[in-house]
Amino acid sequence: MKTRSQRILTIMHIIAWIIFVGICIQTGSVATSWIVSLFNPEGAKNLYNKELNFFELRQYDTAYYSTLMAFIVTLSALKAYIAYLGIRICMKLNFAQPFSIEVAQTIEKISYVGFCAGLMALVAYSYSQWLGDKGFKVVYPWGAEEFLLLAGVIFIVAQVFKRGIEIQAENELTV
Amino acid sequence: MPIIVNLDVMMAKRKMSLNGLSEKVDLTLANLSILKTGKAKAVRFSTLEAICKALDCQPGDILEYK
Repeated sequence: MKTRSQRILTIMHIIAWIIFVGICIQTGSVATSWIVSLFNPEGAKNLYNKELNFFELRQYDTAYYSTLMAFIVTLSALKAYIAYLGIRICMKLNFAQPFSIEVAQTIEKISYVGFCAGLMALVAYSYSQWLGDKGFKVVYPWGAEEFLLLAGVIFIVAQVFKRGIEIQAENELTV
Repeated sequence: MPIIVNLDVMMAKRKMSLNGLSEKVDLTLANLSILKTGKAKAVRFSTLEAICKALDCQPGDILEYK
């Protein structure tokens, strides 16, 4: 008989998969639209949704446009990777012995990837501000602060989890 | 580790097997084996009490500091 926590974990696993697939679709769509727009500038008008319209920038300079798109696609890919790591945690987590080295390493990885994504989002935001000064308004939710906050909080959780592993190991060797 | 567990010595003196001791103290063979081989990190007082009762000895007969 499953406990409440196990049921919640199963639901979270399913939600994590849905989020992962959704972000992968988004990343693929944006990347494909970017490649198409390199050959057909009209493609830059509707890259993923109507809000992602960089037609003017594409017309002005392909290098500036490609740099911006590279930031967007890479950030989206990093989000997908974080979602995948979340799925790995749901798969590896065992409530009988929850503190395992694999889960601890995956949690730590999430904090490092989140930190990298936060730094990249900061750079991308600065770049978009620079483009704005040139007359090309870029409105995109970079989420740098959110990524950095996630990285910080998850890093602390990873350290606590590592201590949990030590305590669990000691408990297993307590007779 | 500086704490030595002399459980096998006491078991030999009382002519008791690991299985027999395991049944008397309500501890699994695996846990008793962990204790006997010196791999245990900690021992609960309740366990120590049960072992001393089963082997009719003092804690000092089982645990030694070197």
